Amino acid sequence: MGYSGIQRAQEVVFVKTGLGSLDALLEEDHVTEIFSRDPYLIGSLCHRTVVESAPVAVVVVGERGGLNPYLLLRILRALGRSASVRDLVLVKRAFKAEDVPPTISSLEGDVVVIDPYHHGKLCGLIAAAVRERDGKTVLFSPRDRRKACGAYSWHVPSTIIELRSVPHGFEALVLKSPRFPEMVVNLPPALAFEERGLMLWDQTKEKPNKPPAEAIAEAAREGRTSPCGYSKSLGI
Amino acid sequence: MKGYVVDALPKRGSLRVFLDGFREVSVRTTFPVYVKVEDPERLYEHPAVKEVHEEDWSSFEGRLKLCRVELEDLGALNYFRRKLPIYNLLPSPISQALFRLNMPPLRLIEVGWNGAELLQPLNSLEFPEVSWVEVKRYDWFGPYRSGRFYRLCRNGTIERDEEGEPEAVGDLAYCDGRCPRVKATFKVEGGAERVWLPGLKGLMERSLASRSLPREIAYSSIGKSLTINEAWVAMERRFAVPELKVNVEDGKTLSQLMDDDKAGLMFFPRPGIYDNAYQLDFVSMYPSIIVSRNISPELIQEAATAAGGIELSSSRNELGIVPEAIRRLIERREALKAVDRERADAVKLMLVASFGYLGYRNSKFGRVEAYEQVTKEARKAMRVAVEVAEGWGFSIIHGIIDSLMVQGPEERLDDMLADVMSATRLKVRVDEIFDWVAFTFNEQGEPHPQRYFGRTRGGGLKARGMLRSNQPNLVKWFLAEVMQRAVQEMTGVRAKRAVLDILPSLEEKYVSLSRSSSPLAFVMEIKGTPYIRGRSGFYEAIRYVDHDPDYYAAWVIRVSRELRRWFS
Repeated sequence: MGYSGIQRAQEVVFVKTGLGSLDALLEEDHVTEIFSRDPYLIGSLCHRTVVESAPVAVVVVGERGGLNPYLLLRILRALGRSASVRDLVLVKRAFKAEDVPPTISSLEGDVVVIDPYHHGKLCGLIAAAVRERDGKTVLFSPRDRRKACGAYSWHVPSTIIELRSVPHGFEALVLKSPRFPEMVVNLPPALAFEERGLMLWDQTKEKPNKPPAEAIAEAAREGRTSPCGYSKSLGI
Repeated sequence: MKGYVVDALPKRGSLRVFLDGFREVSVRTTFPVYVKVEDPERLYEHPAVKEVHEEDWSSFEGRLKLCRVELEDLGALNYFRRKLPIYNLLPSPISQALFRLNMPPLRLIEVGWNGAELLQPLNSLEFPEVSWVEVKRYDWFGPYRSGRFYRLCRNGTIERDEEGEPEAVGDLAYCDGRCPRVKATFKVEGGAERVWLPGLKGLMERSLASRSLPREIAYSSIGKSLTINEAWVAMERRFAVPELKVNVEDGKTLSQLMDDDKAGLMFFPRPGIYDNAYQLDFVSMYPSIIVSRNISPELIQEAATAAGGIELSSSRNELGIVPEAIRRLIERREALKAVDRERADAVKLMLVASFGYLGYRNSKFGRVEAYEQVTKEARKAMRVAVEVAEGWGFSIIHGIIDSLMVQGPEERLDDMLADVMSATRLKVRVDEIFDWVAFTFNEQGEPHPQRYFGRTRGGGLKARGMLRSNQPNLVKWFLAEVMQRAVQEMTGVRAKRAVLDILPSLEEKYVSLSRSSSPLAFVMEIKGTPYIRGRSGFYEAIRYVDHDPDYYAAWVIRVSRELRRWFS
């Protein structure tokens, strides 16, 4: 498909993580941010999101690293996707802070941004560039965003989720959302593909009885665990 | 008055220029600063502005209208930097002013009432006849900034080598550590400088090559000299360079990223000892590729804007800014090789950095696509060289980035080389001819691509990666003695036999030395600091306290086992 194919496809693409519960949280948002103090965790989810969302554009911020093409290929194979997906991921790298806003602004359609506040400066300009975009933007930050980068960059995303490791799995703490109360969502243990073995990836497929959004909202109202294993809300 | 400009300091409306011999002149001048502004007339509101000239420039953004502001007081630059976009800060306004005044640093000039006259061409190879002093401190274990002893060299010749506090007077001075009694017009005291190979003479050569004051480049990395060199070419072409260059990369698909974002070609040799090998070396490979393929960031930007894709611009008649700057450095280095090896090495350092700076995010002339093009061309050139060599009946035994080791008929070597040069459009030479060369490997049998040694045609030893600074001196001496014994034999088979014969006795000798030897044997360098492993752990080797003989003995035995493996 190539470069121009990605630009055409971006009109209809929807950025998704492949995890039903998370996707339900962010499907209607213009800007979503997912952060974690565990860089391995956020890196794994971010790579999976890129694969699940292809064709997609990705902005990688930082001097090095951020996106591991070989991990993307492994996830591709684990999910049984065609290798031609490699040509459906468009990558732009922003090596210094001043490069980030114009790089984000240069892309149309839906975009995944990896570690947008990596340099810890020009956060306002970066957040403004994200806000002004037309398409959907999902930000992944490997740092505690409560402590980094100021109030404006916290205001810009409609939904903010913190990922945490817990015994036997992971959970997503919904800190900000226009449609859901602050709550904790359990995630399956095979979020990542590096340590858990390819056999476990099947556990990432969830089979809810109801559409995920409804199940979450119902569980939150009734204060119970849904069939999907969502935990109680935090009592708001 | 004739002399060499050693330093210059700005004053209001003038420059204080310091010549050799502690002479000083004051020269009336203004300092040029380039700004982008909608209403140039408003610039006159600042009291330091003497004149404003509107000029047409080109830049990474396209055509630009800039105002050249002539400042009487260079301090006003900070004011303008805060308020307006500034261009052409490299070369510095002081360097630009000196250039306009015909007073480039370290060049012979004559200053009179009518101004200054340059008495040498700008690209002259003559070294300035100034007094330059280098002080290096050391202690019992080797170079050490706070060492008790010092060696003082004047104009490259050792003047004193003794204990105590150095005293000297010169035009330029470098002290490896504090030296308050050394007086000079320009002095650098150790700890603040960045890249110092190959020494004060190297710094002076960089100053000559980049037409900048030694003070302006002494405390910066090698990239600054390189960037200034490129900036001079940009100024000649009226190409404006912003203070901060913003890069927006052209998007790449994952496939393209995986293909492009790679380093140089590195082979993994089959471990063993090979007789009659030739080491071929591409001369200044990366800089030569930048020049021959005309890879320059502004050309890539132009191509990307025009055609929606990146293509090489080797068909253009004029070299881009970076290739032109590098071409001048290559020419200067070639010319200096016949004159002064140390100065040629200083220019070589700039060339070595030129490739890295092409991809560096903060570089004024950096663009990652240009960097990737260079590595791509380098890998392609290596593959072509392999094909050509094999076509001539040679077998490839190793390759590292810009160097190939081959075996084959010596009578065909020159023809093969000529063919490689023609196919790759790069210069290649025979760097070394080995009677035999050994490629080493680890316990798992995996080869060490960057560690090899061998006997050269003249009977000497060439070793790479074998003696490392983080090995104790005792181990280095052991390895060196084994390798020296090995290279006394003309063939690999005989070298193996000789080493295996001598190894047990040498191992015993060095294990015994690990128990009682001079303290120097136990020193090793870790991240630039000398350490000794004592009985309670590592300590800095300022003064010998004790050493752990078992630690050093174990190291010797480990290396001995490794050698036995390689030579079996």
